[in-house]
Amino acid sequence: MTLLEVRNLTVRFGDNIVVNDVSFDVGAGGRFGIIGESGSGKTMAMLAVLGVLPIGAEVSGSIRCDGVELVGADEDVRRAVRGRTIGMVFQEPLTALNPLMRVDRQIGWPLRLHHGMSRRDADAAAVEWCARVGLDEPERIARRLPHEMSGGQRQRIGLAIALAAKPRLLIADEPTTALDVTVQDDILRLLDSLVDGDGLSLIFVSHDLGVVARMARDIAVMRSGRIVEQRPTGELFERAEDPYAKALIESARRGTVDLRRLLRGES
Amino acid sequence: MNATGGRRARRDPGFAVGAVLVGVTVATVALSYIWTPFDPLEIDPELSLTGPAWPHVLGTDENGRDILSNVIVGARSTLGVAVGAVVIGMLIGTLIGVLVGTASARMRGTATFAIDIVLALPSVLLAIVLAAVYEPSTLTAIVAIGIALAAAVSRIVARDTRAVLANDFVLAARACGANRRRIILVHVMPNVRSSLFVHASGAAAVAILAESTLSYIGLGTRPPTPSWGRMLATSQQFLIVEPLHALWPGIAIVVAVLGFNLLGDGLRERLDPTLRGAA
Amino acid sequence: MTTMLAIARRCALLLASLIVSSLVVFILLRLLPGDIARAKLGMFATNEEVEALRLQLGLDRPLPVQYLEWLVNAVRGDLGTSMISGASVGGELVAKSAVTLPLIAVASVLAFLVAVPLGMYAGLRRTSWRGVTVSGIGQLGVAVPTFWIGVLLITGFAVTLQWLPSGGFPVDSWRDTGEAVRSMTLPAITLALAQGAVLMRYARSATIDVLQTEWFRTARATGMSTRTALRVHGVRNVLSPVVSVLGVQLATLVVGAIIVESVFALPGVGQMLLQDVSQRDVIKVQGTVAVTTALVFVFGFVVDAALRVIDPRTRDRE
Repeated sequence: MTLLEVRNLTVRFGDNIVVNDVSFDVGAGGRFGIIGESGSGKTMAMLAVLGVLPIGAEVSGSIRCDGVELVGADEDVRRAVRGRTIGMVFQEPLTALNPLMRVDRQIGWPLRLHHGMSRRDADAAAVEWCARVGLDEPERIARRLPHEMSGGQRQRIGLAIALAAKPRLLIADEPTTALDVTVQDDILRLLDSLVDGDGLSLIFVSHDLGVVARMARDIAVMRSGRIVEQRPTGELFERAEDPYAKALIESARRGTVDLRRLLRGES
Repeated sequence: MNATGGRRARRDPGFAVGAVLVGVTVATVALSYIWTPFDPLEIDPELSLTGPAWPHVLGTDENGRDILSNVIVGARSTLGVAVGAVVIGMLIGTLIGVLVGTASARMRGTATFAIDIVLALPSVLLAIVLAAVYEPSTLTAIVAIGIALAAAVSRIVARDTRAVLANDFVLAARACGANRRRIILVHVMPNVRSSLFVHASGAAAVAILAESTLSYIGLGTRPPTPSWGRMLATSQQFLIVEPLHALWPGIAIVVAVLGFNLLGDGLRERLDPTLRGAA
Repeated sequence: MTTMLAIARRCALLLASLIVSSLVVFILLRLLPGDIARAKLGMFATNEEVEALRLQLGLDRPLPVQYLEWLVNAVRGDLGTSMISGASVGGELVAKSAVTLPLIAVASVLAFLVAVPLGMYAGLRRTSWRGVTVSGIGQLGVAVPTFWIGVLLITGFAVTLQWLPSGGFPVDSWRDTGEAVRSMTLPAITLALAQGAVLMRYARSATIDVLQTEWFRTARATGMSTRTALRVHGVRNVLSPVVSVLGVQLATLVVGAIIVESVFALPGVGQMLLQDVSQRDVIKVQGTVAVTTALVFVFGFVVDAALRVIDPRTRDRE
């Protein structure tokens, strides 16, 4: 049974269609990438999978997780999937964390919820998670509030929160976009090790083709709510057919090539 | 991707309801000058404290005066005081607010401090203090409520003004050498103007509540001019005999206040739906 | 440490507020036309009588001197004596506070206990008819004058059902505890309802804000139900703005207490104030209003401090 099966997913807000007839699969251990500019509907599609769309959204189509249909299902059914099976890390870490709660408590709640831990055990486990996501002095930082740490640190906390309940699929929605370039690489490598280490499946969403190509084995290109091209990563660069996808690849390639030329000292 | 989507601008029934309620209140005031079922001041000792019956549809008070007529004419005092207070409050408040908003940081600090102090003395308390020296009257009520409103409005307008000043087009104007007065007249006022109606609506609601409260405790409109607040105070004395009398003036007040509140909220939604407002 | 400096700054601000507000009240009462002595003695007093009273009350001295003398005395606890009864103003205030302070305290707590859960419910269920109804009740509640709530409660519970007294307070004050509590019930409920309606609207709006934040979405994304997430994560974030509103509402609360005392004929500070006003006892009014505004400022200060505990971000915003 495929871990996640999405068929003809459509999300609309009244007359505004933000996700249009999107279909893809993610299997165990799979690494799926979605690339698109802002407004392409990539985030909305992910929110639909998790069932946390804003009020007023109408969803049609099919989203099957472990064979269980989520579209039109009861909130209880949809909630059972969150955290336990699918976890999500968001783009803007400052707003994605509760500003008034210590970060160890924020990591601890999924543990208490899904693994029945007591508060004390959860606090301790949270410190371990802080260490796992590469934070220095985890005991000290665990007791801080989000605004008392850097963007990179916050995003690591975000990862910890998403992974604390031990999901089998992690959705990463532009996790490095809001961070400094120097920090981005660290976070991506952390993501790599965590995903490989726990045998997770990954959906990586971004507007940066280079980053997506690095993290994903299959890539879908989204534009105006539709998937216009979907191929394994290697094939995408050589055999893309859709004009928009080709233009995207060209500009990315040009960027990378120019940079390499520059480094080699050529004009 | 922001999470605040989905809140579409639905047709807001509040605005319509508010407009209707305010309309009813204003119409009542107009009606009071044209026709009332009875002369509100006319005494009829034989008909003291009767309940709802024809021809006195809402009954009579302890002096035999028709309640309905008194409610209708009572609208005059309440709205009269409210309008007076709101005009004073809006004029002074907007003026001070704009001046404070365009002032230097230090001046703003001192001014805000002073305004906060005036705000700590709510209108009713202010009216009580004034009444200690002057004879309490409609005028003291208007002045007291007006001053309190002015303080509240000035604070809001100062904040709105700061928001306008933060815009780039103001920076551009300053760079071209526009002086303070010009900036206020040409840039600040037009932008602040639309929200003034919202503030005025809210102020009217506050003023009506304040006026009726003052009348209730006897510091407002003097007898025998009908006034809702005072009618309620009188009705309280005769609750055992005729409890229904305590209903009508109260309903009138609620209608008026609710109307202005809803109207103000509705106006705010229409003028700037992205603004969530104070409450 | 900067926190020390911040605290010192706030204390200084508080002190300044107290002085300025008492000064403002003083000026209002003295500078306005309406000579105090003449007002007290009435239209038919002779000039000699007025002059004698002025000397007696010290009204012939320059105003700054009068104010400073009042201030110095006030700080020492001597607010002067009543122009009518000769009783100590401070003493009267303390005696009457035994009625007013419990009224305000109980009403505030009740208002909070009612407003926050109701407001959160209304915010949570804002799309359903239930939430809309609760919110509508709040909207209505804000439009209802406090004294009318009192009168209606009296009509219902005192006159019709005869469960509770329609007014007054036992002569033995709190020593007659049972009667005192019964006399305080409807007044406290009245004030609580009036304040609660206002607080509820803020609680509702704060809840709606919380529900739409991205971090609330994160909490839900980990598998928490909306209700649990609200209970666990959201309460603090809702309390913060509601508590700050309470601070602003303190003045209205005091006025509400004055009104409620009038409705229920409670022998508290409010009723005393109204009596003094009608008798033109300027010295007493001055003392009462000054102390009241001082208390409002002090409580505002306390609320501010409480806010810093609840919402640590305010600490760092300095």
